[in-house]
Amino acid sequence: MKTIHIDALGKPCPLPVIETKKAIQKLPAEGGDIIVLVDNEVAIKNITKMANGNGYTVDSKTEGDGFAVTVTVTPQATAEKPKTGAVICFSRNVMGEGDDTLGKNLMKTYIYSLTEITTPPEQLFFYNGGAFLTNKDSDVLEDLKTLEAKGTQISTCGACLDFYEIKDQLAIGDITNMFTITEVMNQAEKTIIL
Amino acid sequence: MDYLFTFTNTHHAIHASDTFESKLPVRVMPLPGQLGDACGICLRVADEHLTEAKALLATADIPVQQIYQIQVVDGHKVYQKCD
Repeated sequence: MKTIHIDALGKPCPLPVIETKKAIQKLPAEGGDIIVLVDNEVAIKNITKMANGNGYTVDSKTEGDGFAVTVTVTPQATAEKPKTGAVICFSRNVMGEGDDTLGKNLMKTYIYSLTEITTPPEQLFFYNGGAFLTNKDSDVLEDLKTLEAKGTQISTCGACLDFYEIKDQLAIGDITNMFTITEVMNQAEKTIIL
Repeated sequence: MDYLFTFTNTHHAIHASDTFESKLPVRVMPLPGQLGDACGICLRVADEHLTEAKALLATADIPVQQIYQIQVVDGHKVYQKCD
């Protein structure tokens, strides 16, 4: 059985998951193990969700200052490409150009629709006007919570929260920066920008 | 149990959404494919708010095209027309 090692120490989510999936695709037909070094429990949780969703077995143990997560892929599971959700970027709190009332409602229907698709998005980024969608008064908060429970990583641009002075109103996900946004978009198989 | 309100056009759907806002919890969602594509926006309301929702729409004079009861059968959503 082939074993692939990944050092994801210090890498923010969802990069450990993305790198794990890429490694899985490099496994031969007989399957193998992917051993991922991570330094936080959120990464373990996200890798585990991805593994369970694809029928892989997963095991984690502490190693040094971090954790070693082993994903075992059987020959049967190798036959199918791992399901990969999209990275979706929300740059506005309305969808499309034109009437903002319509755009606000279209955005609600879009995010609701994301909760019902077979493979939930890997990551949602909210920046500029999109940063209002993750605050406590957001109309889409319940749907974002549903997505988060399905394993979608939700991140809002810290500079944007600061600019609009709404950091204390953030109600879901974590705060991220442009380095992470750039890196994740660069690594993603599919990025959608709204 | 939730109920789905459909409307004859998008303006009515958005007007209804605004009417419900801050009065009762409502989810704006896309019209399920099997219910047609006339107006792509519909509203989902929980059972306990059905009567109030109907009353609010009647008071605001917003015509409802159809109300459906949302059921889950074998893991799939089924939309049962209400009288």
